[in-house]
Amino acid sequence: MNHVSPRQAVGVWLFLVTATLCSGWLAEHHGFAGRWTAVAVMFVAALKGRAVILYFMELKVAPRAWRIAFEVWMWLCAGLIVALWASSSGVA
Amino acid sequence: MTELVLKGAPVAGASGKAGASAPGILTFIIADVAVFGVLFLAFMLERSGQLALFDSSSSALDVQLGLLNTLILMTSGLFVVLAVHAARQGQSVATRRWLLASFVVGAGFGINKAIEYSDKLTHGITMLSNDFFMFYYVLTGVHFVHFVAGMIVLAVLWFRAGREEVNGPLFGWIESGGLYWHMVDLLWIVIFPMLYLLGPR
Amino acid sequence: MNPMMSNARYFQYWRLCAAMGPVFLTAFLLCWGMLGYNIPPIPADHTPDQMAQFFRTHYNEVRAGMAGAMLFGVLYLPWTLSITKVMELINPDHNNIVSTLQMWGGGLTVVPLVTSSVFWLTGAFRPDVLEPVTLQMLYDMGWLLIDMFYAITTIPMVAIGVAGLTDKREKPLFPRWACWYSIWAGLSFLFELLMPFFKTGLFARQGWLNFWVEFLVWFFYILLITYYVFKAIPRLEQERAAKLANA
Repeated sequence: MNHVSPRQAVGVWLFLVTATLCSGWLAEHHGFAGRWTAVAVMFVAALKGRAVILYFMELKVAPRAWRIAFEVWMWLCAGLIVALWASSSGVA
Repeated sequence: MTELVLKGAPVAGASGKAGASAPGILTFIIADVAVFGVLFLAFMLERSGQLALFDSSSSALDVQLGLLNTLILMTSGLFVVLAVHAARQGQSVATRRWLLASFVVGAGFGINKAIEYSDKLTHGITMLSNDFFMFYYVLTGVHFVHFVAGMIVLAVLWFRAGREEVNGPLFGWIESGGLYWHMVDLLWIVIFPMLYLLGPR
Repeated sequence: MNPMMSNARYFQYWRLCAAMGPVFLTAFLLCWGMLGYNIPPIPADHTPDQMAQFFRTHYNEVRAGMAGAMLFGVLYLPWTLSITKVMELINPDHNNIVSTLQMWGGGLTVVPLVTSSVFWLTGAFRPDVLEPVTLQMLYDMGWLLIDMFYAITTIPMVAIGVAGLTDKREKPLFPRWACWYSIWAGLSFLFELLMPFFKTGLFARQGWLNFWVEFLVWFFYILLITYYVFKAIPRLEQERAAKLANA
């Protein structure tokens, strides 16, 4: 239950940058994932947000209730966005 | 914090008392992101009713600028993590260096946003153009106000770290300021794809 | 500290003033809210004729409601003072800028509460002869004043949070989370800045953000701070008694 080390933080940052560039590329090349692009992009966003919450905000070592609250917020946001996106544009 | 001490975290003793204000700001942050959450919901509900308009308006946004802003905030966030780490060790010089780095990189977000806003405004796109741009200006505008407040916090912390012990009572404020700055990052992680990337381009 | 003053004398009326917070809230909700038909507000996109219809039907309730709102709205003042008193003892040896700001800001909050009620009251006074657009204007003015003067309430809310966070006690009088909530709630009123630009949607006066969220945030703040003022007073009594015994 130690604090995040600089080494870990840089690792998380590398993940964030890679994920951002990948989802940016995906969004600009819609043909690749087709209509599932939005789902993929939001899923990657939620993973990035989770990384920020757990490692940058260090909620990994905070009282569990705080970690749960923020993770629930993250997945709820991503989930609602994807659900409303799907129900309006029609995945099928 | 008592929990940390019980689990025997080695550094909790040094930062334990000073860091006690950090969980406090989490109340501010969770309330704030919750309001953003309902704004996201409102945006998505409105989008469902005006899909064609929202998608065509969204495609007018510059993805490259938005992407660059994401990278800027993440990098600035990393520097804040390093600043908090240095402060926890009591390294004043390193703390200030990382805070300054975070501020300088963060300033890029402001410049970028200024370019983006002025480009939209010169093309006659305002908050009242349509419902998409109403949300665009409100969401990015409220986020921008948070960003400006965060920049001020970073500057104040940099200044105070030059005159006070960074692992004394100031540490709680450095930790809280860092958490706030990560919130600005976290919100942009959702705002960017939702506004810029949902529709076909 | 005046050692001549007994604890009973020193803390006299503190609890009475603090109790005015919930009394204000209950009475204001009943008078301004229920009788005055302000929960929720009549939507900003209603026509003048709809507004005239409202005043010409409900003028008696609105008169009674606004008279009550102007009476009970004033109770925000003693409630504010009870918080000021506690804040002054958070750091008794610091200057009193923050607690004074809180007192002025909280006291002046009475102004928008009471004066906005006058506009609704005027509309209900002779709705039979006033033009529909005039009635609409009065109703709009009431809402624009009570919503757009939020900043005077932001000052005490931020001040309480700032003072509470400087508390050096092992267990602070106002818990850290409550301080941050107070600061956040005060700043969240900035959303009202958007209110004049919208007649529909979430930012309009009847919108879920600028009405439901912001007013509930404010009401909860009143209850939260009242609770911690009542928790703080006995602790301050003990602290002062201990000091008197040592002196």
